[in-house]
Amino acid sequence: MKDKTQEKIFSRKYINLLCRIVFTLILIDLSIAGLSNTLTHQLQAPVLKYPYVDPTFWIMHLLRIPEFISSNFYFAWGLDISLFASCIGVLLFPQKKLLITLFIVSYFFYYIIFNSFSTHHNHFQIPVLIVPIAFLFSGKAFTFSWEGLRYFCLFTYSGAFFWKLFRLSWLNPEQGILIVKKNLTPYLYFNPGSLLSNIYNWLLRNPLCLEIMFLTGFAIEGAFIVGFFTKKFDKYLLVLSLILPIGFWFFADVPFFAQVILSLTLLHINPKYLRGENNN
Amino acid sequence: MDLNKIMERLFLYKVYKFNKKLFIFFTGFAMLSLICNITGNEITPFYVWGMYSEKEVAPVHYEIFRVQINNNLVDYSTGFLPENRLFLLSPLTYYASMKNAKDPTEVFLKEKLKDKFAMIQPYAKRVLNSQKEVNEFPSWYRRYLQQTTGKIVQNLKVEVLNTSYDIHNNIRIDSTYTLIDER
Repeated sequence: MKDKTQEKIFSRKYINLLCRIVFTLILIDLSIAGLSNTLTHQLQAPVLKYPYVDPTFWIMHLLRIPEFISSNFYFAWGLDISLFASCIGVLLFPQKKLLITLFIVSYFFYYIIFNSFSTHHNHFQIPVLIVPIAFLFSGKAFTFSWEGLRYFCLFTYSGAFFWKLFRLSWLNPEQGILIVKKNLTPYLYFNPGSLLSNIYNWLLRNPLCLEIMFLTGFAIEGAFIVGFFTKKFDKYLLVLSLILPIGFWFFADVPFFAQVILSLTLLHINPKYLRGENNN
Repeated sequence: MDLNKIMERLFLYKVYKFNKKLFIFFTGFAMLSLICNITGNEITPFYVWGMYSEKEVAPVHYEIFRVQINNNLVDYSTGFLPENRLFLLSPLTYYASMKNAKDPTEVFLKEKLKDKFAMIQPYAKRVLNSQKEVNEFPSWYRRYLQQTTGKIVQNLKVEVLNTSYDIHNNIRIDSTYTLIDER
């Protein structure tokens, strides 16, 4: 039987290129964290924690790891240096699995610290935590991992669609306006005359527009289901996956831009990059 | 269509043919993600992708935190990156909900587990916030504001404005109370 996946194995050159693109985006994300005063050493030994009901967070807090790292000057700096150094190291040497492992472990600690001490479990950092795992594999195993990430990307959006579908929030005529009010009331209060406030105020006076926008987002999320059956529409899904984070930002002031890292899995590759050495 | 041909096109089948361990890894991840989504329980790294799917209900009030350092207003809604804004606002909201009550997670778990909560209580004591963390919060918030604004915070005042929208969707203040006042 002919192995149909054989012809789709990514070359080492292409894996390195993908790795560098992903870690460049991660480096930008880490730099934004630095500018946002949210690196571990900048958090000033936070006190209120939020493990909620996630057992992973409970285990980490039972072991006192987030508290210890974030309140210790040297460990907090050490974690931040480890994040940046391993990220830059991977950019320079994308084949060094040890550097990728160091980054994943460091980011896992940072992820727990950030989400627990911000008292909100955010989803916008998940691609940074998950995508680098694929680069621990080589050759055909990487090809499968990358395709697995493509399904994960489809799952994130179609999952959101099904949650809305089954919770019947799409039938709530006030869903759009209430999301905007919930997330943007402070902005509207403190900046009553700004251009963006005027846009939001116009939309609040015309809630049908907000509802149409919400339902459009809902439909776009549903469109990702098609990706489970065919790759023909990946280029359109890629465009939609770039539009959705803008919607999340506009509607809810949530920086979902790291999701773009996952969107890379929807990119179609020029076949010339697929030829060359195949490392299994 | 031949079943074998259909199977050959399936992603997980191809992985199974290539490497059994990789197949178990992918299938395990997919199954656990699916179970977490069906039960609605998130266990990192198996996430529930709800993304504003919960049916929104109009609250009685929208809380606005008016933060002042050295008698100057800190407008966290502009001029700060979203992650920064999250750390300026979310812990403050959690503190406000904790100040006169217990940790909301503890309240939630007691409601959900009822008598069984006693089984996890020793662990909950170590993991959840107590009065100690509540007492330490204003000092941390002061330090974090200094880090964020680059200014020495000599006095800090946080007021909570309970607001609502009138019929024309204009914001009106219904009541105000002081959450933190440190001079």
